[in-house]
Amino acid sequence: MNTHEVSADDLALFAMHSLEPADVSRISGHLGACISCRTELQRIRTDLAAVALTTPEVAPPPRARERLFAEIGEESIHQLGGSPKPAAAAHPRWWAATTYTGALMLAIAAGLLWTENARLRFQLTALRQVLHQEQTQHQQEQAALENASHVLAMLNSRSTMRVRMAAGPAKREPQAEAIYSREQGRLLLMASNLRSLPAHKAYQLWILPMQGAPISAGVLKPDAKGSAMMMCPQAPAVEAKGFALTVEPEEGSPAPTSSPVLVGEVPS
Amino acid sequence: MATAPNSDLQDSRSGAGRSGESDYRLVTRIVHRDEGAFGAIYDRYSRVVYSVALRVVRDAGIAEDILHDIFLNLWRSPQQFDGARGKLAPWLAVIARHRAIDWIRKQHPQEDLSEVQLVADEDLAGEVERKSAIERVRVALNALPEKQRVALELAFFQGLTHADIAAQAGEPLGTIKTRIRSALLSVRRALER
Repeated sequence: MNTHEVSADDLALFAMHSLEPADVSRISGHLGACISCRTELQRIRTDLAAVALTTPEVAPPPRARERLFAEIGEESIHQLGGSPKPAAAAHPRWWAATTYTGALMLAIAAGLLWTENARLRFQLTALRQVLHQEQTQHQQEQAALENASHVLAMLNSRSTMRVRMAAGPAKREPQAEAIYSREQGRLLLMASNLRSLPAHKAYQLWILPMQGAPISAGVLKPDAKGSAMMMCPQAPAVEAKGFALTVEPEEGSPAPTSSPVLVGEVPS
Repeated sequence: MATAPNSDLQDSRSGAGRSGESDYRLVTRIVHRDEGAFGAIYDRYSRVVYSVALRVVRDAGIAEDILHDIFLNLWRSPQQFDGARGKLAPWLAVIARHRAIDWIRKQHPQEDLSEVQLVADEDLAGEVERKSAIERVRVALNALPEKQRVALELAFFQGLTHADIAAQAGEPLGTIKTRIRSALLSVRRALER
């Protein structure tokens, strides 16, 4: 189901960094506000990872490991402040002993401080992670709550119209109900017993206005049982005389290209 | 992320290779600057990163540099790996591909590592499950219609934009987009089987 200006095709190309900059910024903007597209993007990245992992494995040369560990070893030494310099030879033995003892104590103190610092950084990272996860969860819950609230308000509104669309009386025949609120600009479609479609095809919902051509309200694909529900949160506010469902390419068509599978008229 | 206090993640089989210790535990130890854990992760996944990078850039020296940079990044910022985002092998494979494509295009990295989020797919997590899943994907890729397979290869492993591919094939942009998407849907079905 996709009611967005961003198609699944575009998301796949976005995940592969294969889009032009203008498209990238358009999709990035959309992703910030659309949980379902973000989820689909993660799923596409996982699909791409599986493609990458089909690459026959080749071992890197052993020198690559040596080079890497030499570099991180150097970094560790720098983090500890480097190796201590030798004491000056001009001082008496007792002074040298004192210096070495002091240096040893400083080194121990530095080591303890470094360990404490690492522990605190680890705790800080953990706390940031927990905070981030909670914020993300909170945002998702807020979005779900907001959506549910809109649906409820629309279902309870007196001005909301409900139009059942059906092809026939038989129980297993495809049927759908369109719930449309012109004043809220929202359209909800609940369908069942929809026939499964070939790949690259989807159902497209149309608003049939009193005047003018049908207006697309989005495309959807039913689940394995033929059920589908689609919320169009920014439906055009028009005086509708009915609704129709046609079979179209999965990216949607600008105008219906096939006869309606389901159609329903607004009761006069 | 490595520091997430989630015992399920810590005890999961994710990436538990021959050493038996999970990726999650090893990355947590790397946060504590544990070079032994870093070495275990390197030994477990350097082949994946190097192979993917080599397939894209086709130059052993460049692939070695990409391998070096990715693991150095993992050592410096292990918290960028989030166990909840996906397992380490698929994550590293995607990062290797992206860095290699960036190199081909002479670009700076296009996104922060922490932005590359994957679904946690159990089929790609453990070594045994991953081998089985990847074999299914390999079969699915071989069974793709030639034009779909070529479009995916050009976009994913050669870094061509869909506009480049359309121009090269002399076909509409929409056709190329659909081919790539269809190929990926076949991959997904193979993973879900």
